[in-house]
Amino acid sequence: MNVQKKAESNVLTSSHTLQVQAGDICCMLRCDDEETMARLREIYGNFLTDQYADIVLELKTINKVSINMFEELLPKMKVSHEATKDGDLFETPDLTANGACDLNTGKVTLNVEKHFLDSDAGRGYVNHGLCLVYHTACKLKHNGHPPALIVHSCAVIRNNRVFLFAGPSGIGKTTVARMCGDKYGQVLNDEGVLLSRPGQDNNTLMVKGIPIIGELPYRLNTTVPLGAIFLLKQAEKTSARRLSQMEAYTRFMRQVARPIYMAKQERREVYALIAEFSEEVSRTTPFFELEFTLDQESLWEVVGEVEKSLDKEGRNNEKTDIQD
Amino acid sequence: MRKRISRIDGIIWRKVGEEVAIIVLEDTSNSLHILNKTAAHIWEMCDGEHDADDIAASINERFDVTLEKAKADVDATIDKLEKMKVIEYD
Repeated sequence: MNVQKKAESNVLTSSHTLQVQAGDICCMLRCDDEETMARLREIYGNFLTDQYADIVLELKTINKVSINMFEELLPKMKVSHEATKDGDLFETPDLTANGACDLNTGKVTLNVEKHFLDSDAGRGYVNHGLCLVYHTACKLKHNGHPPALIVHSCAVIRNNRVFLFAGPSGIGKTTVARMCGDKYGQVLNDEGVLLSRPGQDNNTLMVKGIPIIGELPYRLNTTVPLGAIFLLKQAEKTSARRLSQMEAYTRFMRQVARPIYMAKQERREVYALIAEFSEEVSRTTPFFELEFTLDQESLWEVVGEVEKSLDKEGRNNEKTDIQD
Repeated sequence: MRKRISRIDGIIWRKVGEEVAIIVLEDTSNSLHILNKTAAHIWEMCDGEHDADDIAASINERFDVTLEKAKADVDATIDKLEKMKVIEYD
């Protein structure tokens, strides 16, 4: 099935249309509300594309509750899904968001309270929506085998390599981004990135920017080779410790966004993919536990030492290759 | 009669280095179990072709332990894996 053409043929191009890129996926967003479109352009401005749309998202905004009431509702909000064989119906109990996905046409309709885009509290839901749309498009385009998965992490570019600082919510990803500023590297995103899967030949993994909204306004649309992954731990002294593959595997898999798409799906499929990806990444990437304090200098000094050790390791591997 | 042992279909597991990680999906949560090098070898031999004696003989040969010790290790590991509901006898 040519999903790209099928998805695109269902869309009327108008000024109320945006095409957003996430990895090799293109999502066409349609919305008649001008204010919402302006906000979407602001959020996704670095990721606009004119590629074929793999998936189409028809967005309708509703304005049922005040921003104050919305923010009160958010923490209690749970999305219920009803999976059907053709796609997924979803809604929140108060109907501040509801919609449907038709996998046959690659079309998602979403009716959503306008405050989702205005509110800091709504950011997590907007990101969750982006992940769902990305994985749904991967289901259509790659038959459920995404070429890259989303990793919750702060990504910092240093010397043409990306270092990921990963950990659960509240561990300090945004703090690391703030401590980086413009002095110690370039922040790609402080909340999440796409990490490619290694090929048969264990190629260097690539990190791609994705329009996930973090606390800080860093959303670069660029692709850079991965240097190493730091798993964050707040401590009283800054230091880095190399992790075994198993330690890396068990801790990293919790930082991978669950590859859930909008259709009937078994949990086994989701966790099998996370397990496969985590094994690949832990096998091909140096992992460190980074204990850190709020001292900026010592953080980047330790990261610098790790970079030097990786460079030395790389040179030694090259020598071994030559001798072989 | 030989009682061959198999991994239950659909269990999520990966070989990670020389160890094995098994994810057991439960109703509302998941659990992760790590098998060390020896247990990982036992797990990999639970392929429907081997019984506990075959596995113990392989452990005895590969890990430089006595057959008696290998049998005890295999029995203990098989018992744990059975309790985790990740293997079954054919």
